[in-house]
Order: sequence, then structure tokens, then C-alpha cells
Amino acid sequence: MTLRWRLLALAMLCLLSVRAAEASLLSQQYTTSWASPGFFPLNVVQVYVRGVQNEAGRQASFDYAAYLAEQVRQRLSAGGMTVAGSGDANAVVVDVSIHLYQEGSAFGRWLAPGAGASYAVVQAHFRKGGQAAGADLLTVSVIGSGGLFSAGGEKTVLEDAADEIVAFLQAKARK
Amino acid sequence: MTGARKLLWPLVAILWLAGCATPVPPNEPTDMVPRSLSARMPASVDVFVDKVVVDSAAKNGETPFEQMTGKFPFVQPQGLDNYRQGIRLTLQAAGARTSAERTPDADVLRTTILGGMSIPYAEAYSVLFVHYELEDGRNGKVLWSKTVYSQARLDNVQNQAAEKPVANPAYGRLAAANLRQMTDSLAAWLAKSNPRKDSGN
Repeated sequence: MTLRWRLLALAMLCLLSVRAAEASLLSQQYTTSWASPGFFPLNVVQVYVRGVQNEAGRQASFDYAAYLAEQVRQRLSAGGMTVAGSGDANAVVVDVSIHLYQEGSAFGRWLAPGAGASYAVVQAHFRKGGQAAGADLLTVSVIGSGGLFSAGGEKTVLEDAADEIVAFLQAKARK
Repeated sequence: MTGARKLLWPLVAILWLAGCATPVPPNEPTDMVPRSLSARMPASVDVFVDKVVVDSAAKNGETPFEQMTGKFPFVQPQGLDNYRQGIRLTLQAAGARTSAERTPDADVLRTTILGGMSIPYAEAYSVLFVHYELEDGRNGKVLWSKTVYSQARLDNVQNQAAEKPVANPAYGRLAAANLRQMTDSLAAWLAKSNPRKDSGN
């Protein structure tokens, strides 16, 4: 390899490193949630996750509705709550809907912030078994930029939503 | 570099910042009324639509993009008033009477905007999350409540940064979708279990 090519390769490497550092410095990731006021049962112990309804209707490289349901159940178990197999009168029934989902791509975010944004808008409705009234939680998770360090963002936004849902239940369980 | 070129980038930066800081005017109340409503309210129902309030979390700017752009129209004072008028017009369109003042004969509809934000990426969306409660005007008891989520795709996002920003039609659609769900749910409840049905009011 001639010196000229070596220098060119070094320059490209430097450029890529700078771009990667810039992308990580400009990393933009957030999750925000809102909960409705109103009735909520005390002493949450058993939780029945009825499933996740996919209203986003968008194709992705994996079954993101199933992935979210699995993440919620895993976190509930890890948090010491019993995941019930049915929604009887003792259980809190959780209905989850994915309203918006975009898989995005870390490469796209690396090329231009926002270009490959991953985001999920998820709503959870909580009610005690056999009752119609309950509470709602809406979460919005976005990874707008962050470059190649944000690889896996398509799952991170769902995991963040699962965290919010479980944190909401845990806060109720402590009361 | 010539003098004109030296001025170009600061000028671009100032225009960009000015665009970001320009709030979008709130939509007119009529923009918020759903075009066709299947729900019909019982003729006897009389509702006083109370002031629309913003939940404290949303008010404190905890939604990052709302805070950054200041463009979300429903949390501006004029936007809240327009939303209230939009509720009144929607209820009237569905056949309800709406009282101008609070009286024991009218039930009170309380509205809390829990959150709303725009997700301004390749396909920009705006989302709105609102909690509605109907309170018995005689005793203050909550009779019915519903939390409604709605979404709308934003179009002409860039136009909002223009010198004279216009209300984005998407925000009107966003409110209309929310009000339609609220009206459907309230009408269904009133048809089934309105306590005033039996009391002759």
C-alpha cells in the first residue's frame, strides 16, 4: 500500500471516529409517560397481562407486540409480582396497545440524526378483574439520534415502555 | 469572504431560531368538531362544560419536544379555551344541551389534558391524551369518566416555522378524534345509565 492510500485510510478512520463521537454526544433518547387520575385498586399482587394489541400495524423485522408482552411479564416477575394466568377478581388486568411503532435503524441515525429514529407509543389500561373502570398510562419512547452506539434501539424503546408500565404498578403496590 | 457571505450563516441561524420559538396559533374551536358523529345524546341531557385544565406534569414541560418547540397548541391559554368551545360544539352536534352557567340541573364535564407532544421525525406524529369526567351537578359525584388517546399525522411541519405560522390542520384532527371518542363513550353511558333518566330531569 502506498503512503497516499495509507494516509487516505487514516483520514477516513479519523472521520468515522469523529462522526461516531459526534453521534454519541448528540444522543437523544427519552421516555415520557402520563397516567390518568381515577380509581385504582390497592394491594396489587397478582397481575394478568391479557396481551398486547398492535394498533400500529407496521411491519418490523421481529414481532414487536409479542416482544413487549414478554418484557412486561418478565419485569413483573422480577419485581416480585405474580403473573396470573387469568383475570379473576383478585388480579389486576392489564391491556396493552401499541399505537405507534417505528423500528428505525442505528445506521440511519448515524448518517443523520432523526433519520432512523426508533419510537413507540404504548398505552396500558389497568383494571381490577370484573370491573370496567380503571386507570390508563401512556408512554412515549424515542431514540432520535445516537449513531451506532444506539444499535438495538428498536427493542430499547419497547423495554423502556415495559419499565414504565411495571413502575406504575409497583408504585401502586407499595401504597 | 465577502461581507454578504459573512452575514449569511448568522442570518440563517437567527431565522432558524426564530422559527423554533414561534408558537403555533391554536386551532379554531370549529376545527375540533368531528365531521360526522354517530353518537346521539338523549335530549334530556344538559351539560355544563367546565374550564379545561392541563395536568401538572404536562404543564411543567416534561414532554421534551413540547418544551423545545413550544408548538403544542392545546396547552396555550387560548388553546385551552378553544378546546373547551370545541367540546361544547361537539356535544351540541350530538344533540346535547350545554348550559352556559353551572346549575344543579346541569351535569359538569371536567376535562384534563394529561399530555400531548409531537414526534417530529420522518413521519411526524402528534399525540394527545385527555381525561374526561362527568360530575353530577347536584352532589358532585363522579358519574362517568374516560381517558382518551388520539393521534394524527402532522403535515406541513416546516410551515410552522414560517414568518406567519398557521394552525396545523393535524391538531384539529387530533382534537376531533379525541372528542369523537369521548362523545361516543358518554352517549353510550347516558343511554344506559343516566341517573337523571329516572328522576324526570
